[in-house]
Amino acid sequence: MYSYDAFDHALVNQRVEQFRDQVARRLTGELSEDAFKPLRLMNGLYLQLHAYMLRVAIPYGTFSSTQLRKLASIARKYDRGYGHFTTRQNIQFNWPKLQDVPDILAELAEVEMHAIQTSGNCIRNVSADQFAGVIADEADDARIWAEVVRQWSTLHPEFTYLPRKFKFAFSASEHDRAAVRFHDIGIIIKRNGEDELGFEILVGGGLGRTPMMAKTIRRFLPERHLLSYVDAILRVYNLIGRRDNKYKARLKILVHELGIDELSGLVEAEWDRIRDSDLQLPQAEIDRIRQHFMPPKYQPLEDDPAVLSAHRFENATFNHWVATNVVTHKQPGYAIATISLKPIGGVPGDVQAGEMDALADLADRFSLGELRATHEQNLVMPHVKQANLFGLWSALEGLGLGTPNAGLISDIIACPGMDYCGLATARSIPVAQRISKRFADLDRQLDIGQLKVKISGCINACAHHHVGHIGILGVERKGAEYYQISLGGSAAEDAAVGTIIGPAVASDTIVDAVEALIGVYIGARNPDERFLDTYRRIGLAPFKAAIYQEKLNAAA
Amino acid sequence: MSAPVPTSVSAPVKGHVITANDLKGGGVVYQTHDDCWTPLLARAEVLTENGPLDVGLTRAQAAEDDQQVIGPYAIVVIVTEDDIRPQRYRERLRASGPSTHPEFSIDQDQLPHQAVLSR
Repeated sequence: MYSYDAFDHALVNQRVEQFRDQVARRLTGELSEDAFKPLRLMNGLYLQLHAYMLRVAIPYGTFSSTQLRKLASIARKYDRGYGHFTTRQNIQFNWPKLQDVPDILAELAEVEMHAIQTSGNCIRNVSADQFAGVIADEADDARIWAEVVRQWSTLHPEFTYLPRKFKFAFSASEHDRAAVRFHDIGIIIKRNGEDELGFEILVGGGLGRTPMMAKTIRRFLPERHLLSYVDAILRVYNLIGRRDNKYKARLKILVHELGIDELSGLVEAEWDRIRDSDLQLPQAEIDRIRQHFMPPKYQPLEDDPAVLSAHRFENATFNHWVATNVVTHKQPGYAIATISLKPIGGVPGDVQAGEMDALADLADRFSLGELRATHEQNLVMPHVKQANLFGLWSALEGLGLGTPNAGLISDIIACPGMDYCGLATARSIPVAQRISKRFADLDRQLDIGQLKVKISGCINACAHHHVGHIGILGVERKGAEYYQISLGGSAAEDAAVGTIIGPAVASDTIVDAVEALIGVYIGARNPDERFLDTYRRIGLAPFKAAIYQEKLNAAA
Repeated sequence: MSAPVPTSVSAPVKGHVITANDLKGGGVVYQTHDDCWTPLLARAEVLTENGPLDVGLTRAQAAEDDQQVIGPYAIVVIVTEDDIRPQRYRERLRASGPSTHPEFSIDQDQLPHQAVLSR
């Protein structure tokens, strides 16, 4: 894991004291809310429906048991005893008091955490594949390069007041677990024919009210040029990105309006000016950062130990958990375990302080003290001995966190929605809970197979509903909650923006509508076809008919 | 300030309540007839005509200038014999707290109805 040097510590602590002073001046009236708002947002502090909300960064989703214990302590001491993992590898506290936030930030700084640039029109927390560094099929550890960008972008004076927020995501695998095609800049780390390391750079992806897939602006960028090239993109965007309309201010709109070729020309011209500047990454600096992400000292072990097979044979639920939540590790004898934060009927992404402490203990016991947060609102233990999987799962079961549903219909992404969010037009979490309960039966979930359900409470799409196999968007109609369904989206390597199926349905019928969609899939699927595959083969019409046929018949 | 009148409400009355968030705690608050701010909608001052609403918003702005609250605005409510009910769903959630954590809810229904109507 990356650990702060003296410069990092000084920078974060200095920032805490700056914010302490800003809060004091706000409370005395020296700063108006208009003056204070951009300052608090730059420190991750929002004002939501019921209270302030503090969003804490977990850079590229990697954190330690020590950090998780601190998060638990903060939840208990300053909040209401829980935290909420978000869709961008952050954690949110929903009830902090303004005067406590400087102390919270100071406590976070003690464990090398912060809330810098988790909001505002700046470069946000850099996200990455949650399996980076441990998955077998990666070209490199994506966190190394995410950390390079994090350091470059932190308090970058030129990019602190961009036209709009700006998001990076990194992946180093053919399997996209980081939604790189839906970020302002998505970076796929790869090797060329000469086995040299480099980057495919994609630009202009995003969701929100105008969902767009990123386009490749450079197929292979040598590693030393990473910063100069993304700097060139940011400079062009900062200069000519629209500032007249916040809904047209993201990079994706610039890519759309100019076209990728014209934008590429502008970026290349800027890059020509700066490519050989100080932005060229010295090998020594790359090596320095790489040192932070060297693999831990694994024990020499064999894959598939007999004890694992025996437990899988004896315990069907554990066997299902291994099948759904455990992924092959690059190191023989080890495994990557996803901890579902989606217990049946639970709030997606919520973790109680006691659970955080217990998970920190389990990370120490089973995962070399390391955890990951995923953009799908789950956690990961990245270094578990296969022989210890049963012990881990048994402990998770005791906590109610052993749900074997990763990637299944009840593994739903849901934004906070109108239960918390000041922007929301409808609630998300209760819909996720109702769907989860309806499909609680594990055998049924396994029969349905991989299905990504994503529920947003407004068009800003924090839950990525556009790229759900089934996407659900909450809207308000005449003072009531309605839900618009889209189908066929994907944030993975088979990326696509979903298609809206028809008029929004009432809240009391949304779960039935999902059930009807599943019914069409079950009836039409070929062997080994996922819901998404069947949808793409048979098209929208049968699904639409299943939901609206009754109304169509009535109208006829 | 508009003069408060007794709360006897024989038929549903449409009015406005001024709401904001508390600067220090961030919580939802409502303006009372005596220029205090309460988390309890049942204690809020209900303004039933445009004149008092303008005056109420001016008073709320003064409270914002005095670092008490953030972003005051008026919401439409329906006042009956039993309760004050925000017209919009969003405001009903603001009044009661997140539906997903009922233990955090401010149970407005359990409060004695003490609306003060200002005309």
